[in-house]
Parts: sequence; C-alpha cells; structure tokens
Amino acid sequence: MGLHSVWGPLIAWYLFLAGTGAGAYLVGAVAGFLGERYRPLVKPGVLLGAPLVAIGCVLLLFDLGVPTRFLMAFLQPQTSMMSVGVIIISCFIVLSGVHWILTVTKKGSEKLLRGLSIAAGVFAVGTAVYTGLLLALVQAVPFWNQPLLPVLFLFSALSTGIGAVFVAVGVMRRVRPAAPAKTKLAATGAGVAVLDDDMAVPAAPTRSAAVPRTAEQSAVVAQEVDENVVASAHALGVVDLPIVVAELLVLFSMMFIMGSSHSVAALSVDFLLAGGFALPFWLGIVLVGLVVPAVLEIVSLARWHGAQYGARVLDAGVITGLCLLVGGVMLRFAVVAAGLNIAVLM
Amino acid sequence: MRYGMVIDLARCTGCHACAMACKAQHGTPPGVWWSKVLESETGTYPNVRIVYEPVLCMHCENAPCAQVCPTGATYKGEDGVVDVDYDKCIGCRYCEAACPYDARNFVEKIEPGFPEYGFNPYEEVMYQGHQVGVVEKCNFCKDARANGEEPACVRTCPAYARHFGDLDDPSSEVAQLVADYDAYQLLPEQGTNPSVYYMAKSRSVRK
Repeated sequence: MGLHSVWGPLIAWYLFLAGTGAGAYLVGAVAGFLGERYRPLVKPGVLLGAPLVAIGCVLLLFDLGVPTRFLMAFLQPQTSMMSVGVIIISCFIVLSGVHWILTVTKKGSEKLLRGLSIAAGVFAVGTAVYTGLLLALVQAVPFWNQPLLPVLFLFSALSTGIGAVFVAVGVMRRVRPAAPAKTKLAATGAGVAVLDDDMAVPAAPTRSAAVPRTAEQSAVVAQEVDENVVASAHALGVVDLPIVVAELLVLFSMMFIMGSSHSVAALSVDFLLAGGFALPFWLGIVLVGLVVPAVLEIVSLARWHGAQYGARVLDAGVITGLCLLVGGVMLRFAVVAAGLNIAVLM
Repeated sequence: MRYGMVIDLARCTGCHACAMACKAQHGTPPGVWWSKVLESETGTYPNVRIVYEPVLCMHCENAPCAQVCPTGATYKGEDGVVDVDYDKCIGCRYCEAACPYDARNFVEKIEPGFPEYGFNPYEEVMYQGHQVGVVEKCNFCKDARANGEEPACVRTCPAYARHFGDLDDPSSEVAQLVADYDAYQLLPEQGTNPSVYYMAKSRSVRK
C-alpha cells in the first residue's frame, strides 16, 4: 500500500463499498418521495444499497486477524468508534435489507416503505459519515485526524452512490434493450426482472437496425419509451454536479491545510500529491473521479433537450457513473495508504 | 498504583540486550518486538553519532489503544498496566493505528526462527502462549512480576539504564528519578501521559 499504514486494500474496499452502498440507498430512498417522475431510481438504489454494504462488511470480516471472533464486537459494546460503527451498519443492513426484500417481493404498503426509507436513510447517512469518522478519530495519524475527512467521505459516498445508480439505470437498458422481451426475463434472473419493470427503454435510435420499419413497430417502440427513466438519469447528473464540485473543494482544502501543517500530515500530503501515490491521485481521483464526471455532467446539462434523447443521456450516465466509482475506490485507497503514524517522530 | 519505567539514555549503550531478553522471556514469534531499540543519526559529518532510544509500550494513562478497542480486549488494569486479553481480540488492528508509539504488534503468522530446522523445543513451549491474528504488546512482564521479579529488560540491562517501580509511590526509585531529573515522556502533545520516562542527561547532572 505504500508509505506506512496498518490497514490494507481490504479496508479501502470496505470503506468504499460501505459509502457507495449507503449513497446508492439514499438515492433510492429520496427518489421514493419525489413522485412518479423519479420512480425509476427507487429500485436500483434500494436494491444496490444493502448488498454493497454487506459485501463491504464481508471484506472487513476477512481483514480481521481472527474472523471467527467477530461476534465479540457485538457482545460487549465499547465506546470505540468501531463499536458505534458496528451498530450503525447493522441497523442499516437490517432496515435496508427489509426494504430490499419488500421491493423484490413487491410487498409492503406505501406508508411502510416510506417509513423504512426514512429510518434506513438516517442510518445510511450514519454509515457514510462513520467510514470517515473511523479514521478521523485516530489522533496518532495526523492526516486522518481532521474534521474534513468525514465530510469528504460523505460527499464521496453520495457521489459514488449516484454513480452506482447511474450505471445500474444505464446497464439495465442494455440488458433488456427493446421492449417486448418479457420471455427473456426468466433467463436474466429475478433481480433483473424486478429492475426491468421500470427500465423499459428501447435501444439507441441508430440509423440501421434499431430504426422501426413499420408504423406498427413504431407505435410499439413509442409506447415502450419511458421518458421518466431518462429524466431520472438526467436528474442524477444535476444532483451530482454540485456534490462533485464540493468534493473537489473539500479534497484540496484538506490537502492545503494538512500540507502546510508542521506535522507528519505534510508527509502524507506529499506522498499523495508528489510521491508514490501521485499518479493514482491526479489521474484516478482528480481527473477520472472528479473532473471527467463534472465535465460530462456539465455537457449533458448544457445539451439537454428533453427526455426523447434518452439513449445518449443513459450512455453518458454509465460512463459518468463508472468514473465516479473508480475515483471513489482510488480515494479510499489514497486516504488509507497515506495514514502515516506520528510514531515516525520518535 | 501506577507501574512505570525510567530509562536513562546517558547510560544506554545501544546493545539491544533489553530487546533480546524480552524475546526470550515471552518467546515472541519472529517479527514481534514488545521491546526494541530505535537508532538514528544526529549531527553533520564529520561530527556525527548514533542516538539510541529503547522503546516499549508506554502504558499510557489515557491509552488510545484501549479507547479504540471494539471488544474490550485491550484494557488498563488497576496497576496502571495496559494489557491485552488475546481471547477477546478479533485482530481489527484499530489499536495499532491508534498507538502513537508503534508499540503494538500484529501476529501475522507464527513460524520458526530458522524455518529450515522447524520449531525448536523452546519455540514449541513458548509459542503455546501466542495466537495468530491477534495484537500483542509489552505488559511490563506480568508473569515475572507475579513472581516478584522486575521486567526482563530491566533485569538484563548491563548498563543499569532501566528502572522499574510504582510511580505513585513518592519513595520509589522511579518516582524519585522522575522528580529529580529532567525526565520526559515521548510525544507529550498526544495527551497520553505515558508511564515510561526518559532521562537524557547523565545521573550526575542533578536538576
């Protein structure tokens, strides 16, 4: 991992997955309150949230020296931030897990789902902030020990959560391109089938095959166009843009403040900006993770002519989403790897 | 009761006997050092010298390791000694990140000191007391103290650079050394209030 850090790649992935899962769930939960227009975001968000966080927890489990003893963390809760995190993440997984099951089985009243969204949403925010607090409370690692870190991780969690939903919305369209394909659903699995109901969008209107040949086919396609899906993807970009800009500001504020400190944190910053991690930092986090998504979102915003240009919006969304996710992973790796302990001063 | 140690750097010759005595006493696996001697260079050529700094767990009053432990495996005892209950340790390594003194050792694996010869009889006995996947550290020789002995590093030091006792007892040697000399703690700005003190000057220089 370079430099000196007690924790390795599994923890970086855990921090990323917990943040992204929490962010994705928040997208779904919030969209649930925004009416029919943004309904297509609810299922991807809710279905991604709990599994991503759960996968992250499995990785965390494998990172333990004695994984079989993990129950110890539940038996005697301590004042440690890790104990607080165990409780927050457990609550999130249980609540969003119930929401997941109700979504897949299409059960649960609107009232119940809204209540769950609020409750699990609170724990989702808690999960995202906790991943930053876990590190920020380590006084012996000056680069972590700063109030901006949980803020950065919260923004990154929201942004990568949006990225995951971006990808899901775009990919679902590819999995089931043209409309009357109900018969294929069995083969693509239950999860896909569930997502599919809101994802009925025809293939990109290219000049060749996809152009409907008869009036009848035309009507079928027009019927299957769900402008709400496209409008939802567009909305994701609109919401993500200020988050990405804020993330850039927080990231560089952190670097300036820590870089000018007379502490080992300055060594951490040097490691990220100009040392062993410089390439992943500038290329992965800044360019791919923040600048490219911001530019794509600005372009997409400037050229928005309405939901009828669906395919392009969705394709741009997939690329934007993938960039956001890559940047999010790299950010966690960078922060974990740069965690230089003050013990080097001894 | 607050067990503590005073290390007289003017007497330390950098022989590493403390580190070896510690390994022998506890039979720690390769790579695990509860007690060690840091070496650094000082001065500018040609006037340079090596500075030795023996370090171990500082048994902090405000122990960050105990504060971040999610299971209570690391705890501070009534005698001021910070210790680890291996059976409760899940190996999350949060304590290792939180310790400003690099005093904590994660046991990644237990293997013979000379792998080509397998475990020797001493290792076979001593490794029974260790577990893979947990975090270990100095406990001021809990077992030796139970037998009325001082910690191994203190007993072994050929330069008599290490002193051990109850810092809360004003008549103890350690308390008097701390009071009489400019004894200092490492990284005091961390607010940990360590129980290990260092004397930079020779004992002949009184305050």
